[in-house]
Amino acid sequence: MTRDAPRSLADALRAWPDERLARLLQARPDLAVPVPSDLGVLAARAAVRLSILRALDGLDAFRLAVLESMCLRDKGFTAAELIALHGPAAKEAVTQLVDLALVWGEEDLHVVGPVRDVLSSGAGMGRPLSVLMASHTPTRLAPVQQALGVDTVDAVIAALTDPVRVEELLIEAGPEAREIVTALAAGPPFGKVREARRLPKLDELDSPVRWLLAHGLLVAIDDDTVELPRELGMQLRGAPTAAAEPPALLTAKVGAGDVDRAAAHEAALVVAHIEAICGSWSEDPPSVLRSGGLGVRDLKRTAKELDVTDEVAALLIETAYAAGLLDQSPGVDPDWLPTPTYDRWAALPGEERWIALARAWIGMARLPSLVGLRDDRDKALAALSPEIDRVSAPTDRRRVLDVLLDTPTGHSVKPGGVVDVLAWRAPRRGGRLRDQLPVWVLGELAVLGLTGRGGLASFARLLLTGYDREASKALGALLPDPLDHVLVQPDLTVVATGPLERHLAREMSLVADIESKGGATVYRITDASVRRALDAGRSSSDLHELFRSASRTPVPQSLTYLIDDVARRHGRLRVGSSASYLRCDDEALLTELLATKKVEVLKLRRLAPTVVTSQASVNQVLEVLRALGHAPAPEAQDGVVLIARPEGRRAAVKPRPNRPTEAAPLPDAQASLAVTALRAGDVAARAARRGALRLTMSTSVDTLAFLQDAAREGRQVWLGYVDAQGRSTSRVVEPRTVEGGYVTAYDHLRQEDRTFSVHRITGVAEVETE
Amino acid sequence: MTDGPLIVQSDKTLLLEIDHPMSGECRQAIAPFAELERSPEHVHTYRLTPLGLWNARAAGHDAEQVVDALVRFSRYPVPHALLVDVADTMDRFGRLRLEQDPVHGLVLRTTDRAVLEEVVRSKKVAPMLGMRLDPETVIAFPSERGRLKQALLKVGWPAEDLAGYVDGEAHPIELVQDGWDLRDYQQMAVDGFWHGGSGVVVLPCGAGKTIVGAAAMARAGATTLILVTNTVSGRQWKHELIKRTTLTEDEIGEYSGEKKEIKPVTIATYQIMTTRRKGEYVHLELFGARDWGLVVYDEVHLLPAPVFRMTADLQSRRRLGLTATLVREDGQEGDVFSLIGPKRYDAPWKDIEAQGYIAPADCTEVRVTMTDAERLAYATAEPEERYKIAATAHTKIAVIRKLVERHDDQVLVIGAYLDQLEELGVALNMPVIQGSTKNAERERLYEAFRTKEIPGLVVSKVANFSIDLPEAAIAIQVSGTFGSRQEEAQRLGRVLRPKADGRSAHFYTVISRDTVDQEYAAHRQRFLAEQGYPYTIVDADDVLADG
Repeated sequence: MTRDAPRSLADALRAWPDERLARLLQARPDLAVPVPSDLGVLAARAAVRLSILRALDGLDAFRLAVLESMCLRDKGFTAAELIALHGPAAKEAVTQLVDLALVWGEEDLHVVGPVRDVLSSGAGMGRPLSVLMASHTPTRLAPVQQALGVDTVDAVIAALTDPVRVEELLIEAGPEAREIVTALAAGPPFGKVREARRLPKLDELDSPVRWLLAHGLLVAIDDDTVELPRELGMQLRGAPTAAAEPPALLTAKVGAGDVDRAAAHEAALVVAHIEAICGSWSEDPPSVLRSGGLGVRDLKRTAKELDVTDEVAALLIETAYAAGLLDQSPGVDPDWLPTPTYDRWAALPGEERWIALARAWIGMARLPSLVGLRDDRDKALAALSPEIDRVSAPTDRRRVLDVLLDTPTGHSVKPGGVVDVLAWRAPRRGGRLRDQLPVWVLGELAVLGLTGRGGLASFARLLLTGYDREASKALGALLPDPLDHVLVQPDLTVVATGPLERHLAREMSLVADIESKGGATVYRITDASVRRALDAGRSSSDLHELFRSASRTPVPQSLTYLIDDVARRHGRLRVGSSASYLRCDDEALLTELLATKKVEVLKLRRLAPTVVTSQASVNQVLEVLRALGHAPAPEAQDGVVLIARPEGRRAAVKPRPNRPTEAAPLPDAQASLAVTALRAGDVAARAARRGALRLTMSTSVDTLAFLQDAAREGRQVWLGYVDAQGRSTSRVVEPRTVEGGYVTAYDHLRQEDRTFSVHRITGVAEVETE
Repeated sequence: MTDGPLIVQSDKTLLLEIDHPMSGECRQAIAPFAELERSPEHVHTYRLTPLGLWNARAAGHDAEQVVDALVRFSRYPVPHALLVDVADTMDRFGRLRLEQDPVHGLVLRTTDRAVLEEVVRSKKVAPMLGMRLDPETVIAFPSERGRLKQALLKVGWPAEDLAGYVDGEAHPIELVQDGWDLRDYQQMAVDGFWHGGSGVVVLPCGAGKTIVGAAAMARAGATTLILVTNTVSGRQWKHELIKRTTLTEDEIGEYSGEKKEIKPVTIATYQIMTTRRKGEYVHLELFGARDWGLVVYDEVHLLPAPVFRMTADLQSRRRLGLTATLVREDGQEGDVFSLIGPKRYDAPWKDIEAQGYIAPADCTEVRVTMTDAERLAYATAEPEERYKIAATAHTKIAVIRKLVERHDDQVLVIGAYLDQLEELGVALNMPVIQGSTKNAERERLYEAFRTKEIPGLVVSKVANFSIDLPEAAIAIQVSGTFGSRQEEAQRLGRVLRPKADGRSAHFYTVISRDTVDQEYAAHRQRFLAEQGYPYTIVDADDVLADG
């Protein structure tokens, strides 16, 4: 190799062959959207915090450990050094890290700058000494210098980054102090101390913390907080290590048959449950919450109807929603209702219905297990609400399924084992929920019947590898055939010893109440249930025929009697609606009236010789009758004759808003504050104008570099800024730190430290102060 | 797919298909731990309850056997959660044991410290416990033994009572098996009870519960206190004991409103035990009057609450409960479990009928249509009066007379309302027995019935229990205590004694159509329908038209 070693990531990328670049773009797809204009831009984008976070999420524990160890020192590492540290597997790991553009270089390997920040701050590390010391005034620095026996800031930093010196200092500090710093090194790096800023006197260091503060091993950042500098944290933690191979997943043999049967049983239950939900909701739909979800009470009601826990009910409802079986009705006050898709789905054979549900669940970008948990504001998360949308859900689910797919057929796994494997495969993925998510997914798998007795069912395996048709066939063979008969018993219960044919199931649940569900269904026939069937238009002979043809046992006489009894009473009382009635003791007059052609508009109906009802309102009837020359009198609800002379109409009183009339005079205090602000603004603006204005309108990468330089050198800069309300301001500030998308800077106008978001900065410029 | 006879539902009911070839085997396997809830013709329903599982644990079954039986006979895969729950529940029994410590007396000992910590912290349990002896043992107050068990059951950690029993004052009692033998199931019931120490035996009416009691007394060979529902039933116990055992009239005392005898075997009524004067139970001393070796509770499902409380103090005595049904209308089954003891033996009615020990019975519901005048009276009555009006409808009388005529046999007419009974007595020309009838008079009438001097008897609910009229084969029920299921079972029991000539029994219920009478009847019949007695419904007009 005669070529020079690359000097930066961009340099290194330029030397890459095309297919290697293509691989990078595939491995980190966010770099390619939109396509960068040149390799410089690609390199800059690869070094953006967000993109790095995403890339790190995909790393397994071992690669992450290699990368972390490379962050331990500023100098580059050689591959040989890393192999010495992590074993031979490190060689391949480094190649992959280079391929991902997280590390660059050939002989001398360098970590891409922001990776260091991300890994250390995310890992609970404090800020570097250089940053912490920069905020110290000479008076604060003096005691530390004195304690360490040096006389410059750089010497202090040099002393505290020398491992040997630090070790000596810790020995001198004593075991208690070591315990304190070790705890802080494990993160978070902050500790609470009273009067942290009190200037230490070397002869009265009354506590280990005071001692550490005096020697610069801890740094006070405000009146009661101390921070452990990054360099010390890293040294105390030591080199990160991780196993090069994932932990072995323990499996237990259950037997393929058992697994499949148990899973198929659950699968059949899920289909039945979802049918029950849609059936119940089409009769009595729950309303859509204002915030877009399903109310807790409705969820509990559904859970109770199905005799499952709230969690399971939420999962079923979410799955039905994902499969498009449920949706909001249109209109102002929407309800949750089954969709036409539901009817098509319901007509499919059981196994295909399940495939549709399972597919929907696998792909849904929502986390049903969050339902019922509390959000940051202690509000319970509702099912079907947008709050449980999680774009990463399908990927997370797939990762669990991939682990299961690697297990041998008919073997069960323990959730703990899956969690460990996944934690190794991507330790940074999933955040707080990292170890919870796989447990949830495994629970959902069991409920939905993809797993049975802890093992992945054979039909689920087929489904997950894309063989839907084969999966459906395999499941179909496992599901019990629908029955065309039931057993009717003398105590008025009906037992279906397996799933019923669709038509029969519908008729049975119409004429009887379900008492117990599971592999079999127990129905109880009561007065009310028979009445329900009659209300739905079945005649008593329909019901006799239903039981005669469907019952494999002789129909008990008590049932025949019950049906006849209820049928006899059914419809004896008739209820209808009408808008008004007419009554008259003179039957002849009513007959005469009904014969008149002009009353047709009133839609009169004679209920009894002396009573006629009308679909028209009382006033309309009065009007028509009066026009015909009759003298009708209106009646109140209690039968008293109404004197129908309406009183004058009135409007209801509505509360009116208080409108301000005139601007109130400004109080003195506020006025003087305003003037101060004006003056200070003026000074800032003039300073900016006088300076050799170099407005930079280029990329934020340049802006950041400029601000970082200023922070290091302690220069003042002019900053154009748009605040949270969208007001454009400009001010002169002295940047202190630039990290995490924020610039912390001393604002002379307000005489305090301020934080600015980088994305709101419209421009920066040099300032020449007088 | 296995093809077992059992279907395990997720709500913990078990459905057993009777026509299945393996159903018999399966029933034997599940009977120890599952409670038979309904046994109609085709599919029997069992239920897994904590009490049932604990009963099984007390009888020495473990969770593995239960799980195995469920999995082996189940047609569909058994829900995993249910199996876990079964194991968990069974595991709770016996973590706490009541034991006799040679030094400290009664102690509560545990194999699981966490459980003991939990219960000693429980507000309900703590007052009954004394000093902590070591991390696993705490002193229990002997006087609180019963209440402690009750409280522990309520907090879900039932204690196994291994503290043993006092033998009581010995008194030799032998069975005299002249011309009769202890039936197999009676022997099994006694063995089950004795092995467990204390507990309940469930047998259908007419299956010889008294004999089980007598055999238990012979086994104990000690002084015995027998608690019965009423005086007549007490006399029958006495009669039966003299006939079946070596006990003589002098050895058996009656403790009732009329006599206060305390003898080696003493029979007392629930009523006398619950009599109070100035708020005090005046006859409590009976429990301490002798050193009883055995306490027998007849019809334990009727045991009144005060007797429960007294029983709490009798935990060191052996206790035997006898009943036809553990269904308590007040839902106090848990108290029976903790204070009398777990169920020790249980036989379905139909099984005993199949063995010929109780008579087969036909149950018929006769529906009467009230006259318009009666319907109007019914329709305008206050809701609380409605049942009485419907049940005592005059229209019923003609039908009842017809039913009596139909059978050339002695008849028991059972009702709840005195005016109706008086009216029926006159109409049918039969003597009436009711609450105010003197005991001597009752005995005389029963005797007249036995000797067939009278065509039948009209009885009020005093005769619901324990009247021994072995040849009664026809019962007509005209009114009852609303929808009481156990009353229905008791009344059927009156005619279930096996008849000398093997004829079957008939049980009629006359009800007024389209009224609450009909609704209550449906409710009352549930227990028997569930036990496999199908009811036939006939119309009163058909009865009247018939011959």
